[in-house]
Order: sequence, then C-alpha cells, then structure tokens
Amino acid sequence: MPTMKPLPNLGFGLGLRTDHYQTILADKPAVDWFELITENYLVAGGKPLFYLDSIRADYPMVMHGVSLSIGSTDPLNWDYLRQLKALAKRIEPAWVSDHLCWTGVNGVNLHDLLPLPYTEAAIDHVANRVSTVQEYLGRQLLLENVSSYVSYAHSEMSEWDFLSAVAERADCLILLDINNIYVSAHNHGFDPLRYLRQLPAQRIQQIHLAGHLDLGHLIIDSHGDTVIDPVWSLYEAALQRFGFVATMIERDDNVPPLTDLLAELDIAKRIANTLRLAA
Amino acid sequence: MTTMTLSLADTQQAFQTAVLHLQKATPDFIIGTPQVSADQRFKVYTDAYRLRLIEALSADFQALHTYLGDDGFAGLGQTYIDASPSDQFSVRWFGRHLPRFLAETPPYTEQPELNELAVFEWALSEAFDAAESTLLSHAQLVTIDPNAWPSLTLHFHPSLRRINLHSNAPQIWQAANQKQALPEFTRQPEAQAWSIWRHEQKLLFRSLSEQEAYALDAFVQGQCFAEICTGLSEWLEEADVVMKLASFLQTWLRDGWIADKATGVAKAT
Repeated sequence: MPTMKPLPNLGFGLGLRTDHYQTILADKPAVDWFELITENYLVAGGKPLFYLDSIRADYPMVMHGVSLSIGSTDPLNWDYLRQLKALAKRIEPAWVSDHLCWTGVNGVNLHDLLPLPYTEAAIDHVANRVSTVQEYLGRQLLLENVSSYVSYAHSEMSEWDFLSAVAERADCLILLDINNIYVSAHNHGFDPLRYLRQLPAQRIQQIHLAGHLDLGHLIIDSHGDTVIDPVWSLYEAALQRFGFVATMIERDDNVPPLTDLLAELDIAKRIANTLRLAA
Repeated sequence: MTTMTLSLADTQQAFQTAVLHLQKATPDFIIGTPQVSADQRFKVYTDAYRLRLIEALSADFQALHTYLGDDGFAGLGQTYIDASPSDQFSVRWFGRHLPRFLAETPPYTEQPELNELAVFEWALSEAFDAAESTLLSHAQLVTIDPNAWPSLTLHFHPSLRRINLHSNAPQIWQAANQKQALPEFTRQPEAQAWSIWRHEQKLLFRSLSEQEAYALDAFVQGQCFAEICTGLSEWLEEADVVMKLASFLQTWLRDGWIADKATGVAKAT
C-alpha cells in the first residue's frame, strides 16, 4: 500500500451531467467541484471527453464509478481498471470512488449496485480486492454505501459494521450517501442515527445527497427528485458527528436547470454554516 | 440450500440467476419483513434490471423507439435483454448486438426496416464518441509531390462509418429526431450508400453516389490513388477519372473525413 497524502476538503459540489455542460461553460457557476461518472467518459473521443476536458480546466473534479464490482466473486476487470487509471491520469481527480456492492458474476453485468451479505468472508473478500485496486491506482479508494431493498438470511452483522470493517481492513475511505442511509433505514427498519454513530469518522471523505421515490412499503433510490427534509436533518446529524465533509447533490433523473441544483446546494451550505463548520 | 454455509459465490450466482430468469423463484436466502415479502423486495431488482437496460437501449435507438412505440419497444427490449445479457462494464455498449438481433430474430425479420434503422442509429452512436484525429488540410494535400500521387493512400477520421441501406431509415431517423410525424417506410431494390461521421463535435450523415462509395471503400481498404483510378474507369472515361477522384478528395477534405496521418492517430485506429 503506497503512502497516502491526506485528501483535500473540496467544499460543495454537484454531479456533472450532460444537460448542464453548456451552462457550466458559459456561466462558470459558483460550484466548488464536480463529480463525474467514470463510465460516461471511458470512451475514445467526441463530446463526452471534449466537454469533460473543457470543464475540468475550470473546476476540481472527483471520479465516481459504477462498474468496479468490488464485491463480485468474478476476477477484477483489469480492462476496466486500466481505462479508469488512464482517465484518472487525464483528469487528475482529487479522488476516485465506487460502491460497496457487486454488479454481476460469470462475466455478466446486471448494471445495478447489488447489496452484499454482511459476512466476515465478504469483508475479507472485498478488503483484499480494495487493497489490490488501491495498489494499482496508487491512491486510496472511496467506497459508497448503497441503497438496498433486500437482506440476506446469512448476514452476520449490521450494514454499518460491515462498511466500517471493510474500510478499516482495506484502509480505504468512505463516500457516505446520506439518502441511501435514509432509504435503507426505512427498507430494513434500522435507526439511521445509529448508523452514523457507528462509522469511523476519520474515514468519511465525501457525502452524497439525493432525492428518492417513496412507494410507502419501500423507498427506491431514484435520484429523480429534490432532497427531502428528513434527509437534510440526517445530513445535519452527519456533519455534527463527522465535522464538515465535502458534500454534493446527485441528480440523475428529471434533471432540473443547474440553478435549481445550486439552490439546493445552498441548503447544504446553510446547514454547514448554522453548525459553524467551514467548507 | 443451507443458508448458514452459503458462500459469497453461490449467493451471487443464485441472486443473478433469479434476476436474469423471471421464471426462477426468489432465492431462499432473501428474507422479507413483516411489511414487505421477500418476493416483493427482490422484485425491485428484477424490475430495475429490465427498466435500466430498456432505458439504455432507448437512449441509443430513439428513432426505433418512436417507430415501435413504447409497448413495442419495451417488448423488443425485453426479448433482446433475455437473448443478450450485458457482458460489458459500461452500459454504453449494451445495444451493439441489436441490429444483428433484429436481422436474425423472428418476428422482427419480417420488418427489415427495423434492422436498417438500428444499423443507422448504432453507426451514429459509434461516430458520437469515436476517437479524435487531426484532419488533413487542403494546404497539406496540394503540397504532395505530383510523383507521389499514384501511390497515395489515405487515413480517415475514426468516426467515419459507411453503411448501405435499402430503406429511407435516415429520413425516419431525422423525423423522429425532430419530433415530427414519421414518413412511411419505403424500400428500394438497390442499396444506397451512406456515410456517417462526426465533425467539430456534430454528427453528420449524407448519401454517396456509387462511384464515391467505391472510391471511399477502396481507400479505407488501403488501395492507392492509381488503383482506385483504374477501378473508377469502369464508370468513367479515362480522361475524366483523375478529375473525378480529385473532386471526391476535395469533398472529403471539406467534410472532415481525411485524417492527418502524420499525427499517427489515424494509424492507431
């Protein structure tokens, strides 16, 4: 494991979305940083990389992937990792993240962030793979907690204990999705504040905020709506627990004008200001 | 199955099988809550899998989606998803087999326009994010030593695609893209040559004459100027051949098709 420098605290960011490319370049909005979806830019050329390079010239960026499949029992996808590393060399992101999940086995990709059973064996499996990936990329990885809709009969611990153990054993960082905690707390009936209390504070490097779809019996992590008040409250509790952590809003569906997301980001800033936490 | 000893590999294998095959029961290691049964919970994943991939197909085949309507496109998507599970890390490539699937799979084989529309749309999607290359300039072309012209070969921009269509698929695509009423599908006995490419981040396409298509295809295959002149003499008087091919090159320069091979970028593709 290479010696890692502490990562910067980037402030308040947004997910980079194609709908906003022109506005970002024209208006240079006051956003501290953007998070790009890695896979959208693992292409040979054209508009995706053209706009990415143009916007990168003005803003810090972080890379957020959905295909690492760190929990899969398939071998690591070295073709993917090579392309990811090349993009990281091009973009020089402040950090690289993916999800604590698996996406498929036997060479099949279900293109979903599937939950793992919370077992000792799974911790070992994931931690070993995270170490390999960190060694290859020469940087610490951030892993994000996913929303989940099922639980496994053979899970041996809580999700927070599983996430903490993976992070500690692999010496990686955590991208904490506050909405996902809220969603999973509803779907599994746990206390989201207990989740926050049990995490290793020093490993929380980034926070995601997003909206969801409440079906009543289940809440679905849709990223298609505004952040709801209970999630803002949970965010406030997270900042009280962890101090200020680089925060961004994720919107993937019903993407509104950039000004709407900037206004939503202002809510996060107000919460941090109220707590007298500097970005 | 004894859940207490279930390995991670077996868990994932069973989970995936039940997502891929709707007739499979929810794995018995999935547990429900008093409010929501295991089946209801697992269905979030089986539904999301199909919806996500149909959405990805729709993004790449928007005109085909418009042509078939929501139900027709969802039906096609469902059949294709079952036949071709994704084996790529990026959903970007999930639709790459759809043109062939439409050409080979009943009942879609009865509507050949579906294949042609899909071929056209996939060529557009390939041109969209193909590699970059610097282009040959007019100034570079005119400085080529006259003695070198007969052996001249060309390299093309990596986004350039060449397809042959019997139908008016490009017109159908254009109408769908502009959200206008789609024209009737028509089919000609003779194939029409088309080129699709990207220039200054814009996607472009146009039809080619038989002679231009021949010349372009021959250059792409590595033939030289003199060889292509000989080929063109099947259509033209010998005295007109060189002027004709030179005019094609002028057009290709204007369209941004010819790569500057000195950069080495085109060679690598």
